[in-house]
Amino acid sequence: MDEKKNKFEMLSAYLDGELNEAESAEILEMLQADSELRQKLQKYSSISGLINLHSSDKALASDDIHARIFRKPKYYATGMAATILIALIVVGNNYTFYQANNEIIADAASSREAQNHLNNIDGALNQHVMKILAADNLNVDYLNTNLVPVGYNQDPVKPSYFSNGNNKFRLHIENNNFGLKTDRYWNVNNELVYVRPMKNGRLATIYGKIDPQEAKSFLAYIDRN
Amino acid sequence: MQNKPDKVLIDRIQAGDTAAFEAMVIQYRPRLIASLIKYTKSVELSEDIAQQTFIKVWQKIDTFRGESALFTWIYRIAINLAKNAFNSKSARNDDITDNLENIETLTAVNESPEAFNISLSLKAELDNFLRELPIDLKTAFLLREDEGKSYEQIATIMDCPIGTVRSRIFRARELILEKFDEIN
Repeated sequence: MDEKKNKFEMLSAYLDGELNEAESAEILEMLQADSELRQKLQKYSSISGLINLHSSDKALASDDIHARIFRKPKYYATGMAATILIALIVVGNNYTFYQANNEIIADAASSREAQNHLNNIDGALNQHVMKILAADNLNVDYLNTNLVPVGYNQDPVKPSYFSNGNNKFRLHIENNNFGLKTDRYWNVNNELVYVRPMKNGRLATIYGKIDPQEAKSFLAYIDRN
Repeated sequence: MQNKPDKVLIDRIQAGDTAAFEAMVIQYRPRLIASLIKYTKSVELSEDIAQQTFIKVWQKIDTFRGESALFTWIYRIAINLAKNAFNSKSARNDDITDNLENIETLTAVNESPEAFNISLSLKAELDNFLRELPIDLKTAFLLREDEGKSYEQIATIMDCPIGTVRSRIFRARELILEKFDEIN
């Protein structure tokens, strides 16, 4: 118990910028491996946020803001959102998080089950996106030629590749939809990654040079047929 | 001026350490949002700006020279994004739009009623609890959190060792968290 208390006290001093370099390095190492410590950091920093708001603008210190700043400390949606952001960022140097998943994050704030579910979705989804970016020819089902939307050409040699004028992209359809309920998309090094959970329970992923509206239309067409 | 923990953190992030970046986000996000709310007067916009800010921080971390504290640098980025958001013609972005180049332009996200879940009574209880903390703990804690004093300064003010200051602030935080857990 003393060891835990010591590390939390050290974390508290870290938050205040009162550790030397060696101690700071030690805490950062511990944070990497220790989820309890990360949660504690989240809690401590939430208190700071709350105090910071509370002392400066009491007119705005309503219930809503307390909720948003503090984020119900048992369920670390804020830290988790940060984790999601980080996980997406590590995929590429110019990985830009386009679309916020605030409804999912808000749900997670109110339910541990939802939080675990979200952790599982995003962990698995991140892995999926990483595989898409890294591999040229994943072992997935190819789209039947008859289902290709009008105006698009399917590469006969590499059936997962499609083109339409300036657009060129890969399509992956697979069985696991990772529990996704809505479309998501990201820009990675000026190319788009677009994922859509389909009506038949499968997941369609587009990766390449195409804008989101076109990707959405393409996948919506496939999903209807 | 950059403090020692900031330097360790920055060195690691600049070396590509994503765990260190995550630690930074966890540490600074609540405070950043609280600071932005004073500027934007909107919780949702502040959250969005904070998210965009950390993306930018990751992209620009190599440009940080340590001439200011890390949080000051982060906050400056956030304020610039907030200004862009106010100046932007883009409004809500519920649907996919073509305006994808303008990723730095903030778009408000729909408010989520689920997040508004702390009652007036909780707020009052927290306020009361702060007042009821043991005097030594409260003094050390508020000198640190409210006034930004260093441990050394607090030790001088309270005429006690730095280690005692550290312990008091830690205990205050723990008591506050226990109270929050009780209430929740």
